[in-house]
Amino acid sequence: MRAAAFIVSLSASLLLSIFVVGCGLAGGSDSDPYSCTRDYNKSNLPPLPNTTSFISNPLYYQQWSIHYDRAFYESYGISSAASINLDDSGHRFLGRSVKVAVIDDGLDVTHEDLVGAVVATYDVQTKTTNVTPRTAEDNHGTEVTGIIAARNNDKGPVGVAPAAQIYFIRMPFDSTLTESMIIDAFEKAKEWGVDVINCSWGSGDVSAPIKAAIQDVAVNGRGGKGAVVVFSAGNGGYDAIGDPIGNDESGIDEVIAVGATNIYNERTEYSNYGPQLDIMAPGGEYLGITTLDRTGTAGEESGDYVYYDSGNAFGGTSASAPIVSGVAALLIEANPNLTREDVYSAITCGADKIGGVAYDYRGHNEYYGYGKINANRSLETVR
Amino acid sequence: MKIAAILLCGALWLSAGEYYYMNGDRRVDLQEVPSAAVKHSLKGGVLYFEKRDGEQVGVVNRIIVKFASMENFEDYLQRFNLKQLKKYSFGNMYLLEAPTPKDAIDAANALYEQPDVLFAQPDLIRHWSLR
Repeated sequence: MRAAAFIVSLSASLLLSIFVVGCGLAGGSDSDPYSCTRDYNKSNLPPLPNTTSFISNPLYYQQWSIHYDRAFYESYGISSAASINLDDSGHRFLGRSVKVAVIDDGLDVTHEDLVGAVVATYDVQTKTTNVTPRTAEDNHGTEVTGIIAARNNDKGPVGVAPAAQIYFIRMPFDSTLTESMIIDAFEKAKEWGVDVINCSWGSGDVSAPIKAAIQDVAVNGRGGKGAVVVFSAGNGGYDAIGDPIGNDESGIDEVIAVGATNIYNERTEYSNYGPQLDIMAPGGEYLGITTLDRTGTAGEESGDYVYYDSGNAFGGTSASAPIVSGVAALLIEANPNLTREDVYSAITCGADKIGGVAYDYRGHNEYYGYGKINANRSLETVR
Repeated sequence: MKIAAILLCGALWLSAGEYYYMNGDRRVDLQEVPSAAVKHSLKGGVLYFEKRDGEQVGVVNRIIVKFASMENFEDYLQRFNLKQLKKYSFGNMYLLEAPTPKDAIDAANALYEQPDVLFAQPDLIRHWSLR
């Protein structure tokens, strides 16, 4: 049975390769490190895991961003293609043994849906392991972490990579945050040897020292295979109308810049754009992204979760980036040989060309990047 | 009397808009912001400025430098009155301490001019937004 599934997977991969090349979507020449015609190292891969069901998670049906639920989709008029297509083979891979660093404002490490998820923590401000949110507004890190790694445990929603190991780094997003604290965060991530780094934040104008730190981790991290660094592209500043990415952290070449799509499978109005934009993922517009909230009366809502229809529903490119980070974790579990460039290629080359817009000879569009991430298709290419 | 004169000179120089730092090879001009206009501050000395794009930045007495080679490192520490706080694992990248925030700006700009320095800038307090 496993062998049959593997053959099906290989055939799909081959067909896809033929399609991509035949349609002229390949991403450049052989010398292009991100080329879609690259050969992934598929030697000594771990056995294909059995399929796992997410149905028993009570909020799974609300997670329009990751899978198609017919009743939910129809009741809200959601485009049938709005999700990242995390079904079937996606449920074989859960991000097992993959280290995902989340750099954010604080984490409710006591959350019932993160039991067993958090392996290590570090606060760049206090130089301690205490990453507990400090203010009433420090809800963002828990929401982001939930999108990546909420456990498949019959509680709440489920993360894109519900078996990933979380390495959380807290930074103070207030008037005490310095360049050196941010550099410390990436140094800690490098020291931990993380596979993926999620950053749902940015400055709009990255400095040379921070850029150098990010590039170093991306190139030399993960034992030389390179850490996959994912940044949200930004939400258009104060007017919430998309801005050029420009010299933002997400615009660094070695970073995956993630924009946001909505329930109609189109770019959200606020999503930043430009030649640096790499990939789109659902970020919420009209409906939010169901995820974890700080427990009890703390957080956005009373209770432990923030829902798609909450008054303070979670969304934005902050929500899109962890979806991509989660898929990166699935890819690395599926094929631990993958380099950073391999993961980039698998994600961008497997994307859906959405939006009814023209993509250039590389398959790129300034408002949609290489398209919207398709988890299953990317996974099929690396096994 | 001497101290007052130095302070006056300093104030005049500040108002002339002579402050800047280098972000890589890009010069970023700084206009001083009166401390009363700043809602929050770190303990200790912080100089606050506004960039031309309106972003407010704070300068503390530290700089971040990356060297192409370490041949003149000790000489630079001595010449610019700097102290090593940390060596990063990102090549020859260092966090150095200057006596004051103004010294940090001056040292960073002087180091930037050296042929064996890849970049040098103050350790800035800036605004990074959650998205």
